[in-house]
Amino acid sequence: MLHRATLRRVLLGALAALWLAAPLAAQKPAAQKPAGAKPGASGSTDPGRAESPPSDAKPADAKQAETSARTATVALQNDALRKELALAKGTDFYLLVDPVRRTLRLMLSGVVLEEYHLHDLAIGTFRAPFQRSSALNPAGLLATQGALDPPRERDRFELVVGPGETDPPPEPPVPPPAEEIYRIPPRYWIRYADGVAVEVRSREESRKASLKTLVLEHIWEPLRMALADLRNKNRDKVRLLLEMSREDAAALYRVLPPDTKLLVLPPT
Amino acid sequence: MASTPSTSVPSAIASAVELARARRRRQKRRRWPLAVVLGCVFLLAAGVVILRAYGYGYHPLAQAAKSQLAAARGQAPAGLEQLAKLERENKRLAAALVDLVPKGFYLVIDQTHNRLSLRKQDQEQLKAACSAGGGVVLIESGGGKRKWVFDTPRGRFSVLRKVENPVWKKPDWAFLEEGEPIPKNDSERFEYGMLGEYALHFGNGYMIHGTLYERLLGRSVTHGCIRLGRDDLRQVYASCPIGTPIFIY
Repeated sequence: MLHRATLRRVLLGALAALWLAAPLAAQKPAAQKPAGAKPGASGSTDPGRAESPPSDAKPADAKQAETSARTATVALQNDALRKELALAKGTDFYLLVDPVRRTLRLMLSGVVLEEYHLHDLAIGTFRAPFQRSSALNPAGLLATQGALDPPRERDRFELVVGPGETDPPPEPPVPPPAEEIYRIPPRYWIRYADGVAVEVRSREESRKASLKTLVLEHIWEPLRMALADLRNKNRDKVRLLLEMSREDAAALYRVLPPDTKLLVLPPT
Repeated sequence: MASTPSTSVPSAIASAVELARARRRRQKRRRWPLAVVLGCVFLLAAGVVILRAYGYGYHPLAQAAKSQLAAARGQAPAGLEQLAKLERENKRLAAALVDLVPKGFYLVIDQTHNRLSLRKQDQEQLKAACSAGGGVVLIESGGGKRKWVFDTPRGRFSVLRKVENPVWKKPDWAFLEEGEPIPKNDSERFEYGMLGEYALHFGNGYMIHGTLYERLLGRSVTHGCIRLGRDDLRQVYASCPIGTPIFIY
Protein backbone atom coordinates (compact mmCIF):
# COMPACT_ATOMS: atom_id res chain seq x y z
CA MET A 1 0.00 0.00 0.00
CA LEU A 2 1.09 3.54 -0.59
CA HIS A 3 2.76 5.67 2.03
CA ARG A 4 1.04 8.82 3.11
CA ALA A 5 3.56 11.00 1.29
CA THR A 6 3.21 8.97 -1.88
CA LEU A 7 -0.57 9.14 -1.62
CA ARG A 8 -0.37 12.88 -1.24
CA ARG A 9 1.81 13.13 -4.35
CA VAL A 10 -0.60 10.95 -6.36
CA LEU A 11 -3.57 13.10 -5.31
CA LEU A 12 -1.82 16.33 -6.17
CA GLY A 13 -0.82 14.91 -9.52
CA ALA A 14 -4.39 13.86 -10.26
CA LEU A 15 -5.76 17.31 -9.38
CA ALA A 16 -3.12 18.92 -11.58
CA ALA A 17 -4.11 16.60 -14.43
CA LEU A 18 -7.79 17.55 -14.01
CA TRP A 19 -6.90 21.22 -13.94
CA LEU A 20 -5.04 20.85 -17.23
CA ALA A 21 -7.68 18.64 -18.82
CA ALA A 22 -10.63 20.97 -18.13
CA PRO A 23 -9.69 23.66 -20.70
CA LEU A 24 -9.07 20.95 -23.30
CA ALA A 25 -12.42 19.37 -22.60
CA ALA A 26 -14.33 22.63 -22.74
CA GLN A 27 -13.54 23.57 -26.30
CA LYS A 28 -14.55 26.98 -27.53
CA PRO A 29 -16.49 27.06 -30.82
CA ALA A 30 -14.43 27.17 -33.98
CA ALA A 31 -13.25 30.74 -34.33
CA GLN A 32 -13.59 31.49 -38.00
CA LYS A 33 -10.40 32.94 -39.32
CA PRO A 34 -11.10 35.44 -42.07
CA ALA A 35 -9.90 34.13 -45.38
CA GLY A 36 -6.59 35.71 -46.23
CA ALA A 37 -6.31 37.33 -42.86
CA LYS A 38 -2.90 38.74 -42.21
CA PRO A 39 -1.51 39.14 -38.71
CA GLY A 40 -1.42 42.75 -37.53
CA ALA A 41 1.41 44.46 -35.75
CA SER A 42 0.83 42.32 -32.69
CA GLY A 43 0.75 39.15 -34.75
CA SER A 44 -2.84 38.42 -33.69
CA THR A 45 -5.39 36.80 -36.01
CA ASP A 46 -8.35 37.24 -33.64
CA PRO A 47 -11.34 37.80 -35.95
CA GLY A 48 -13.21 39.70 -33.24
CA ARG A 49 -10.64 42.44 -33.04
CA ALA A 50 -10.60 45.15 -35.68
CA GLU A 51 -7.24 45.08 -37.37
CA SER A 52 -5.56 48.33 -38.14
CA PRO A 53 -3.53 48.03 -41.31
CA PRO A 54 0.23 48.19 -40.98
CA SER A 55 1.57 51.68 -40.98
CA ASP A 56 3.34 51.16 -44.27
CA ALA A 57 0.12 49.83 -46.09
CA LYS A 58 -0.92 51.64 -49.26
CA PRO A 59 -4.03 53.85 -48.97
CA ALA A 60 -5.69 51.84 -51.76
CA ASP A 61 -5.41 48.65 -49.70
CA ALA A 62 -6.95 50.38 -46.71
CA LYS A 63 -9.81 51.72 -48.81
CA GLN A 64 -10.36 48.29 -50.34
CA ALA A 65 -10.46 46.70 -46.89
CA GLU A 66 -12.92 49.32 -45.72
CA THR A 67 -15.12 48.77 -48.77
CA SER A 68 -15.07 45.02 -48.29
CA ALA A 69 -15.90 45.38 -44.61
CA ARG A 70 -18.78 47.74 -45.34
CA THR A 71 -20.03 45.43 -48.11
CA ALA A 72 -20.08 42.43 -45.77
CA THR A 73 -21.92 44.42 -43.11
CA VAL A 74 -24.56 45.71 -45.52
CA ALA A 75 -24.95 42.26 -47.09
CA LEU A 76 -25.64 40.74 -43.67
CA GLN A 77 -28.09 43.52 -42.84
CA ASN A 78 -29.87 43.07 -46.16
CA ASP A 79 -30.23 39.34 -45.56
CA ALA A 80 -31.86 39.99 -42.18
CA LEU A 81 -34.03 42.79 -43.62
CA ARG A 82 -35.31 40.50 -46.36
CA LYS A 83 -36.26 37.89 -43.80
CA GLU A 84 -37.90 40.48 -41.59
CA LEU A 85 -39.85 41.88 -44.52
CA ALA A 86 -41.06 38.39 -45.47
CA LEU A 87 -42.21 37.83 -41.90
CA ALA A 88 -43.90 41.23 -41.76
CA LYS A 89 -45.81 40.55 -44.98
CA GLY A 90 -47.02 37.22 -43.66
CA THR A 91 -49.87 36.48 -41.28
CA ASP A 92 -47.85 34.83 -38.52
CA PHE A 93 -46.61 36.24 -35.26
CA TYR A 94 -42.85 36.44 -34.87
CA LEU A 95 -40.24 37.30 -32.26
CA LEU A 96 -37.40 39.68 -33.09
CA VAL A 97 -34.24 39.41 -31.01
CA ASP A 98 -32.05 42.50 -31.13
CA PRO A 99 -28.68 41.68 -29.54
CA VAL A 100 -27.44 45.28 -29.62
CA ARG A 101 -30.49 46.96 -28.08
CA ARG A 102 -31.09 43.86 -25.91
CA THR A 103 -34.77 43.66 -26.70
CA LEU A 104 -37.21 40.92 -27.60
CA ARG A 105 -40.21 42.08 -29.59
CA LEU A 106 -43.42 40.23 -30.35
CA MET A 107 -44.48 41.36 -33.81
CA LEU A 108 -47.27 40.96 -36.32
CA SER A 109 -47.30 42.46 -39.80
CA GLY A 110 -44.42 44.78 -38.94
CA VAL A 111 -46.15 46.18 -35.84
CA VAL A 112 -44.63 45.85 -32.39
CA LEU A 113 -47.16 44.24 -30.07
CA GLU A 114 -44.93 43.81 -27.02
CA GLU A 115 -41.35 44.68 -26.24
CA TYR A 116 -39.30 43.07 -23.47
CA HIS A 117 -35.93 44.15 -22.17
CA LEU A 118 -33.32 41.39 -22.02
CA HIS A 119 -30.81 41.35 -19.20
CA ASP A 120 -28.72 38.66 -20.80
CA LEU A 121 -28.55 37.01 -24.20
CA ALA A 122 -26.38 34.06 -25.09
CA ILE A 123 -26.16 31.51 -27.84
CA GLY A 124 -24.76 28.03 -27.65
CA THR A 125 -24.20 24.86 -29.60
CA PHE A 126 -23.63 21.31 -28.42
CA ARG A 127 -20.03 20.45 -27.59
CA ALA A 128 -18.13 17.30 -26.78
CA PRO A 129 -14.67 16.99 -25.22
CA PHE A 130 -11.72 17.35 -27.53
CA GLN A 131 -13.99 18.28 -30.44
CA ARG A 132 -14.47 21.71 -31.90
CA SER A 133 -18.11 22.72 -31.79
CA SER A 134 -19.69 24.27 -34.86
CA ALA A 135 -19.44 28.01 -35.47
CA LEU A 136 -22.14 30.27 -34.12
CA ASN A 137 -23.94 32.38 -36.73
CA PRO A 138 -26.75 34.05 -34.87
CA ALA A 139 -27.28 37.07 -37.13
CA GLY A 140 -30.16 36.34 -39.48
CA LEU A 141 -31.09 33.14 -37.66
CA LEU A 142 -34.67 32.29 -38.61
CA ALA A 143 -36.76 29.59 -36.96
CA THR A 144 -40.39 28.55 -37.43
CA GLN A 145 -43.20 26.74 -35.60
CA GLY A 146 -42.32 27.74 -32.09
CA ALA A 147 -44.07 25.89 -29.28
CA LEU A 148 -43.92 26.44 -25.54
CA ASP A 149 -42.32 23.77 -23.40
CA PRO A 150 -43.91 23.10 -20.97
CA PRO A 151 -47.11 23.99 -22.81
CA ARG A 152 -49.54 26.48 -21.40
CA GLU A 153 -52.41 24.65 -19.75
CA ARG A 154 -55.76 26.23 -19.39
CA ASP A 155 -58.84 24.79 -17.76
CA ARG A 156 -61.90 25.44 -19.89
CA PHE A 157 -65.36 25.52 -18.46
CA GLU A 158 -67.60 23.15 -20.40
CA LEU A 159 -71.31 23.70 -20.55
CA VAL A 160 -73.48 20.93 -21.93
CA VAL A 161 -77.02 22.00 -22.70
CA GLY A 162 -79.87 20.18 -24.30
CA PRO A 163 -83.25 21.22 -25.67
CA GLY A 164 -86.21 20.93 -23.40
CA GLU A 165 -84.27 21.18 -20.16
CA THR A 166 -86.37 22.93 -17.52
CA ASP A 167 -83.56 24.06 -15.22
CA PRO A 168 -81.36 26.83 -16.57
CA PRO A 169 -77.76 25.69 -17.03
CA PRO A 170 -75.19 26.88 -14.50
CA GLU A 171 -73.45 30.17 -15.21
CA PRO A 172 -69.76 29.89 -15.96
CA PRO A 173 -67.66 31.26 -13.10
CA VAL A 174 -65.84 34.55 -13.56
CA PRO A 175 -62.27 33.54 -14.28
CA PRO A 176 -59.42 35.00 -12.23
CA PRO A 177 -57.01 37.52 -13.81
CA ALA A 178 -54.46 36.18 -16.27
CA GLU A 179 -51.72 36.42 -13.64
CA GLU A 180 -53.52 33.77 -11.62
CA ILE A 181 -54.67 31.45 -14.37
CA TYR A 182 -51.34 30.04 -15.51
CA ARG A 183 -48.60 28.47 -13.44
CA ILE A 184 -45.38 29.96 -14.79
CA PRO A 185 -42.32 27.69 -14.58
CA PRO A 186 -39.07 29.37 -13.41
CA ARG A 187 -37.57 28.61 -16.80
CA TYR A 188 -39.21 27.46 -19.97
CA TRP A 189 -38.44 26.77 -23.58
CA ILE A 190 -39.73 27.82 -26.95
CA ARG A 191 -38.84 24.92 -29.24
CA TYR A 192 -38.69 25.42 -32.97
CA ALA A 193 -38.90 22.97 -35.81
CA ASP A 194 -35.47 23.83 -37.18
CA GLY A 195 -33.43 22.47 -34.26
CA VAL A 196 -33.46 25.86 -32.57
CA ALA A 197 -34.57 26.25 -28.99
CA VAL A 198 -34.92 29.37 -26.89
CA GLU A 199 -34.60 29.12 -23.13
CA VAL A 200 -36.27 31.92 -21.20
CA ARG A 201 -35.39 32.42 -17.59
CA SER A 202 -35.99 35.20 -15.11
CA ARG A 203 -33.18 37.13 -13.51
CA GLU A 204 -34.75 36.98 -10.06
CA GLU A 205 -34.88 33.19 -10.15
CA SER A 206 -31.23 33.09 -11.16
CA ARG A 207 -30.16 35.47 -8.41
CA LYS A 208 -31.98 34.13 -5.35
CA ALA A 209 -30.52 30.70 -5.68
CA SER A 210 -30.02 28.73 -2.50
CA LEU A 211 -27.18 26.25 -2.02
CA LYS A 212 -29.47 23.44 -3.10
CA THR A 213 -30.43 25.37 -6.25
CA LEU A 214 -26.79 26.10 -7.01
CA VAL A 215 -25.83 22.46 -6.64
CA LEU A 216 -28.79 21.42 -8.80
CA GLU A 217 -28.03 24.03 -11.42
CA HIS A 218 -24.27 23.68 -11.68
CA ILE A 219 -23.78 19.99 -11.01
CA TRP A 220 -26.96 17.95 -11.30
CA GLU A 221 -28.56 19.81 -14.21
CA PRO A 222 -25.46 19.75 -16.48
CA LEU A 223 -24.95 16.06 -15.71
CA ARG A 224 -28.56 15.29 -16.47
CA MET A 225 -28.54 17.39 -19.64
CA ALA A 226 -25.25 15.94 -20.83
CA LEU A 227 -26.50 12.37 -20.36
CA ALA A 228 -29.80 13.20 -22.03
CA ASP A 229 -28.04 15.01 -24.85
CA LEU A 230 -25.63 12.13 -25.40
CA ARG A 231 -28.55 9.76 -25.77
CA ASN A 232 -30.62 12.14 -27.84
CA LYS A 233 -29.48 12.14 -31.41
CA ASN A 234 -32.04 14.82 -32.32
CA ARG A 235 -30.53 17.37 -30.00
CA ASP A 236 -30.99 21.08 -30.54
CA LYS A 237 -28.52 22.49 -33.03
CA VAL A 238 -28.61 25.95 -31.55
CA ARG A 239 -29.85 27.20 -28.21
CA LEU A 240 -30.57 30.80 -27.35
CA LEU A 241 -30.60 31.82 -23.71
CA LEU A 242 -32.66 34.90 -22.84
CA GLU A 243 -32.77 36.32 -19.35
CA MET A 244 -35.40 38.90 -18.47
CA SER A 245 -37.30 40.12 -15.44
CA ARG A 246 -39.74 37.76 -13.79
CA GLU A 247 -42.75 39.84 -14.85
CA ASP A 248 -41.65 39.92 -18.48
CA ALA A 249 -40.85 36.20 -18.57
CA ALA A 250 -44.27 35.44 -17.12
CA ALA A 251 -46.04 37.85 -19.47
CA LEU A 252 -44.34 36.32 -22.50
CA TYR A 253 -45.29 32.82 -21.37
CA ARG A 254 -48.93 33.86 -21.05
CA VAL A 255 -49.30 35.69 -24.33
CA LEU A 256 -47.06 33.80 -26.76
CA PRO A 257 -49.26 32.74 -29.68
CA PRO A 258 -48.77 29.24 -31.13
CA ASP A 259 -46.41 28.77 -34.10
CA THR A 260 -44.59 32.03 -33.44
CA LYS A 261 -41.48 32.43 -35.60
CA LEU A 262 -38.10 33.81 -34.54
CA LEU A 263 -35.55 36.08 -36.18
CA VAL A 264 -32.25 37.28 -34.70
CA LEU A 265 -31.15 40.66 -36.02
CA PRO A 266 -27.50 41.42 -36.90
CA PRO A 267 -25.53 44.04 -34.99
CA THR A 268 -25.93 47.44 -36.66
CA MET B 1 29.27 -10.84 33.51
CA ALA B 2 27.90 -8.49 30.78
CA SER B 3 26.00 -9.92 27.82
CA THR B 4 27.95 -9.91 24.66
CA PRO B 5 26.97 -7.11 22.23
CA SER B 6 27.03 -9.55 19.36
CA THR B 7 23.88 -11.35 20.57
CA SER B 8 21.85 -8.42 22.01
CA VAL B 9 22.21 -5.96 19.08
CA PRO B 10 20.85 -8.24 16.39
CA SER B 11 17.89 -9.19 18.56
CA ALA B 12 17.27 -5.51 19.35
CA ILE B 13 17.40 -4.68 15.67
CA ALA B 14 15.14 -7.61 14.87
CA SER B 15 12.59 -6.53 17.44
CA ALA B 16 12.76 -2.95 16.23
CA VAL B 17 12.18 -4.11 12.69
CA GLU B 18 9.31 -6.30 13.85
CA LEU B 19 7.80 -3.37 15.71
CA ALA B 20 8.10 -1.14 12.65
CA ARG B 21 6.47 -3.80 10.49
CA ALA B 22 3.65 -4.19 12.95
CA ARG B 23 3.21 -0.39 13.02
CA ARG B 24 3.16 -0.28 9.22
CA ARG B 25 0.59 -3.10 9.14
CA ARG B 26 -1.59 -1.17 11.56
CA GLN B 27 -1.16 1.99 9.49
CA LYS B 28 -2.02 0.07 6.35
CA ARG B 29 -5.23 -1.16 7.93
CA ARG B 30 -6.10 2.43 8.88
CA ARG B 31 -5.18 3.89 5.49
CA TRP B 32 -7.19 1.77 3.10
CA PRO B 33 -10.61 3.32 3.93
CA LEU B 34 -9.04 6.73 3.37
CA ALA B 35 -7.64 5.55 0.05
CA VAL B 36 -11.05 4.26 -0.99
CA VAL B 37 -12.72 7.55 -0.09
CA LEU B 38 -10.08 9.61 -1.86
CA GLY B 39 -10.33 7.36 -4.89
CA CYS B 40 -14.10 7.84 -5.02
CA VAL B 41 -13.74 11.60 -4.68
CA PHE B 42 -11.19 11.60 -7.47
CA LEU B 43 -13.43 9.55 -9.75
CA LEU B 44 -16.42 11.77 -8.96
CA ALA B 45 -14.43 14.93 -9.67
CA ALA B 46 -13.13 13.46 -12.90
CA GLY B 47 -16.66 12.46 -13.88
CA VAL B 48 -18.04 15.92 -13.16
CA VAL B 49 -15.28 17.62 -15.14
CA ILE B 50 -15.69 15.30 -18.11
CA LEU B 51 -19.48 15.49 -18.14
CA ARG B 52 -19.39 19.25 -17.64
CA ALA B 53 -17.40 19.37 -20.83
CA TYR B 54 -20.42 17.94 -22.62
CA GLY B 55 -23.53 19.96 -23.22
CA TYR B 56 -24.16 23.40 -24.58
CA GLY B 57 -21.46 26.03 -24.38
CA TYR B 58 -22.94 29.52 -24.32
CA HIS B 59 -21.42 32.76 -25.57
CA PRO B 60 -22.80 36.30 -25.43
CA LEU B 61 -25.07 36.81 -28.41
CA ALA B 62 -23.75 40.25 -29.32
CA GLN B 63 -20.19 38.97 -29.31
CA ALA B 64 -21.09 35.95 -31.44
CA ALA B 65 -22.91 38.20 -33.91
CA LYS B 66 -19.92 40.55 -34.12
CA SER B 67 -17.59 37.61 -34.69
CA GLN B 68 -19.84 36.41 -37.48
CA LEU B 69 -19.73 39.89 -38.98
CA ALA B 70 -15.95 40.05 -38.71
CA ALA B 71 -15.66 36.65 -40.39
CA ALA B 72 -17.94 37.78 -43.22
CA ARG B 73 -15.72 40.83 -43.71
CA GLY B 74 -12.80 38.59 -44.52
CA GLN B 75 -14.51 37.18 -47.60
CA ALA B 76 -13.58 38.02 -51.16
CA PRO B 77 -12.98 41.75 -51.63
CA ALA B 78 -15.81 43.79 -53.11
CA GLY B 79 -15.91 46.91 -55.22
CA LEU B 80 -17.60 50.28 -54.77
CA GLU B 81 -20.24 49.46 -57.35
CA GLN B 82 -21.31 46.35 -55.47
CA LEU B 83 -21.39 48.32 -52.23
CA ALA B 84 -23.54 51.03 -53.80
CA LYS B 85 -25.97 48.41 -55.09
CA LEU B 86 -26.22 46.79 -51.66
CA GLU B 87 -26.78 50.14 -49.96
CA ARG B 88 -29.59 51.00 -52.38
CA GLU B 89 -31.24 47.68 -51.62
CA ASN B 90 -30.74 48.29 -47.89
CA LYS B 91 -32.61 51.59 -48.12
CA ARG B 92 -35.38 50.00 -50.17
CA LEU B 93 -35.87 47.15 -47.69
CA ALA B 94 -35.82 49.47 -44.68
CA ALA B 95 -38.37 51.77 -46.33
CA ALA B 96 -40.59 48.79 -47.20
CA LEU B 97 -40.58 47.74 -43.55
CA VAL B 98 -41.48 51.22 -42.36
CA ASP B 99 -44.33 51.36 -44.90
CA LEU B 100 -45.98 48.34 -43.32
CA VAL B 101 -46.62 50.17 -40.04
CA PRO B 102 -50.06 51.85 -40.18
CA LYS B 103 -49.82 55.61 -40.64
CA GLY B 104 -53.01 56.48 -38.74
CA PHE B 105 -54.63 54.98 -35.67
CA TYR B 106 -54.55 51.28 -35.01
CA LEU B 107 -55.62 49.04 -32.16
CA VAL B 108 -53.51 46.46 -30.32
CA ILE B 109 -55.47 44.10 -28.08
CA ASP B 110 -53.85 41.76 -25.56
CA GLN B 111 -56.64 39.26 -25.02
CA THR B 112 -54.74 37.36 -22.31
CA HIS B 113 -54.28 40.33 -20.02
CA ASN B 114 -57.45 42.06 -21.30
CA ARG B 115 -55.74 45.28 -22.36
CA LEU B 116 -56.49 47.48 -25.34
CA SER B 117 -54.08 50.03 -26.72
CA LEU B 118 -55.00 52.73 -29.24
CA ARG B 119 -51.85 53.83 -31.05
CA LYS B 120 -50.80 56.23 -33.74
CA GLN B 121 -47.32 56.00 -35.30
CA ASP B 122 -46.11 53.83 -32.42
CA GLN B 123 -47.30 56.38 -29.85
CA GLU B 124 -49.89 55.14 -27.41
CA GLN B 125 -52.95 57.38 -27.35
CA LEU B 126 -55.14 55.30 -25.04
CA LYS B 127 -54.59 52.34 -22.74
CA ALA B 128 -57.79 50.68 -21.58
CA ALA B 129 -58.99 47.63 -19.72
CA CYS B 130 -61.21 45.42 -21.82
CA SER B 131 -62.78 41.98 -21.69
CA ALA B 132 -61.98 39.26 -24.19
CA GLY B 133 -63.25 35.74 -24.79
CA GLY B 134 -63.57 33.50 -21.73
CA GLY B 135 -62.72 30.26 -23.50
CA VAL B 136 -65.96 28.58 -22.35
CA VAL B 137 -67.03 25.56 -24.40
CA LEU B 138 -70.76 25.19 -25.04
CA ILE B 139 -71.94 21.81 -26.27
CA GLU B 140 -75.43 21.13 -27.48
CA SER B 141 -76.33 17.64 -26.28
CA GLY B 142 -79.39 17.03 -28.40
CA GLY B 143 -80.43 18.13 -31.87
CA GLY B 144 -77.49 19.19 -34.03
CA LYS B 145 -74.90 18.48 -31.31
CA ARG B 146 -73.24 21.76 -32.10
CA LYS B 147 -70.22 23.03 -30.22
CA TRP B 148 -69.08 26.60 -29.64
CA VAL B 149 -65.74 27.71 -28.20
CA PHE B 150 -65.86 31.28 -26.97
CA ASP B 151 -62.36 32.49 -27.79
CA THR B 152 -61.34 35.82 -29.23
CA PRO B 153 -59.47 35.17 -32.48
CA ARG B 154 -55.81 36.13 -32.87
CA GLY B 155 -54.33 37.93 -35.84
CA ARG B 156 -54.73 41.06 -37.91
CA PHE B 157 -58.20 42.42 -38.62
CA SER B 158 -59.69 45.75 -39.59
CA VAL B 159 -62.75 47.75 -38.75
CA LEU B 160 -65.39 46.72 -41.29
CA ARG B 161 -68.45 48.51 -39.97
CA LYS B 162 -69.28 51.09 -37.34
CA VAL B 163 -72.68 51.19 -35.69
CA GLU B 164 -74.22 53.61 -33.23
CA ASN B 165 -76.64 52.22 -30.64
CA PRO B 166 -76.12 48.67 -31.88
CA VAL B 167 -78.81 46.07 -31.45
CA TRP B 168 -77.79 42.56 -30.59
CA LYS B 169 -79.29 39.83 -32.71
CA LYS B 170 -78.92 36.87 -30.37
CA PRO B 171 -77.48 33.76 -31.98
CA ASP B 172 -78.63 30.23 -31.09
CA TRP B 173 -75.99 29.71 -28.42
CA ALA B 174 -77.28 32.71 -26.45
CA PHE B 175 -80.64 30.96 -26.03
CA LEU B 176 -79.11 27.57 -25.29
CA GLU B 177 -76.84 29.11 -22.69
CA GLU B 178 -79.84 30.46 -20.80
CA GLY B 179 -81.86 27.31 -21.20
CA GLU B 180 -84.37 29.04 -23.46
CA PRO B 181 -85.88 27.58 -26.60
CA ILE B 182 -84.47 28.87 -29.88
CA PRO B 183 -87.12 31.16 -31.43
CA LYS B 184 -88.34 30.45 -34.91
CA ASN B 185 -89.06 34.10 -35.51
CA ASP B 186 -86.06 36.39 -36.07
CA SER B 187 -87.83 39.32 -34.48
CA GLU B 188 -87.62 37.52 -31.14
CA ARG B 189 -83.80 37.53 -31.27
CA PHE B 190 -83.18 41.27 -30.90
CA GLU B 191 -81.96 42.74 -27.64
CA TYR B 192 -81.52 46.48 -27.13
CA GLY B 193 -78.94 48.24 -25.00
CA MET B 194 -76.79 45.17 -24.35
CA LEU B 195 -73.91 46.35 -26.53
CA GLY B 196 -73.51 49.89 -25.28
CA GLU B 197 -73.46 53.07 -27.36
CA TYR B 198 -71.22 51.94 -30.21
CA ALA B 199 -69.96 48.83 -31.96
CA LEU B 200 -67.04 48.30 -34.34
CA HIS B 201 -67.38 45.10 -36.34
CA PHE B 202 -64.20 43.31 -37.44
CA GLY B 203 -65.53 40.20 -39.09
CA ASN B 204 -67.16 36.81 -38.46
CA GLY B 205 -69.61 38.29 -35.99
CA TYR B 206 -66.90 39.70 -33.70
CA MET B 207 -67.15 43.29 -32.48
CA ILE B 208 -65.69 45.83 -30.13
CA HIS B 209 -68.66 47.10 -28.16
CA GLY B 210 -69.80 48.45 -24.81
CA THR B 211 -71.11 46.56 -21.82
CA LEU B 212 -73.52 46.73 -18.92
CA TYR B 213 -71.00 44.93 -16.73
CA GLU B 214 -68.11 47.39 -16.44
CA ARG B 215 -67.07 45.81 -13.13
CA LEU B 216 -65.97 42.73 -15.10
CA LEU B 217 -63.61 44.66 -17.38
CA GLY B 218 -60.13 43.14 -17.11
CA ARG B 219 -61.50 39.60 -16.96
CA SER B 220 -61.99 37.16 -19.80
CA VAL B 221 -65.77 36.81 -19.67
CA THR B 222 -67.09 37.43 -23.18
CA HIS B 223 -68.15 35.08 -25.91
CA GLY B 224 -65.36 36.29 -28.16
CA CYS B 225 -66.13 39.96 -28.65
CA ILE B 226 -64.11 42.74 -27.03
CA ARG B 227 -65.95 44.79 -24.43
CA LEU B 228 -64.87 48.28 -23.45
CA GLY B 229 -65.94 50.79 -20.86
CA ARG B 230 -68.17 53.65 -22.03
CA ASP B 231 -65.58 56.45 -22.05
CA ASP B 232 -62.89 54.34 -23.71
CA LEU B 233 -65.35 53.11 -26.31
CA ARG B 234 -66.27 56.70 -27.19
CA GLN B 235 -62.63 57.60 -27.81
CA VAL B 236 -61.98 54.45 -29.86
CA TYR B 237 -65.13 54.97 -31.93
CA ALA B 238 -64.22 58.60 -32.63
CA SER B 239 -60.60 57.83 -33.56
CA CYS B 240 -60.95 54.69 -35.69
CA PRO B 241 -62.49 54.99 -39.13
CA ILE B 242 -63.47 52.02 -41.27
CA GLY B 243 -60.31 50.20 -42.32
CA THR B 244 -58.46 50.84 -39.05
CA PRO B 245 -56.15 47.87 -38.42
CA ILE B 246 -56.76 45.78 -35.31
CA PHE B 247 -54.03 43.47 -33.99
CA ILE B 248 -55.13 40.85 -31.48
CA TYR B 249 -52.72 38.47 -29.74
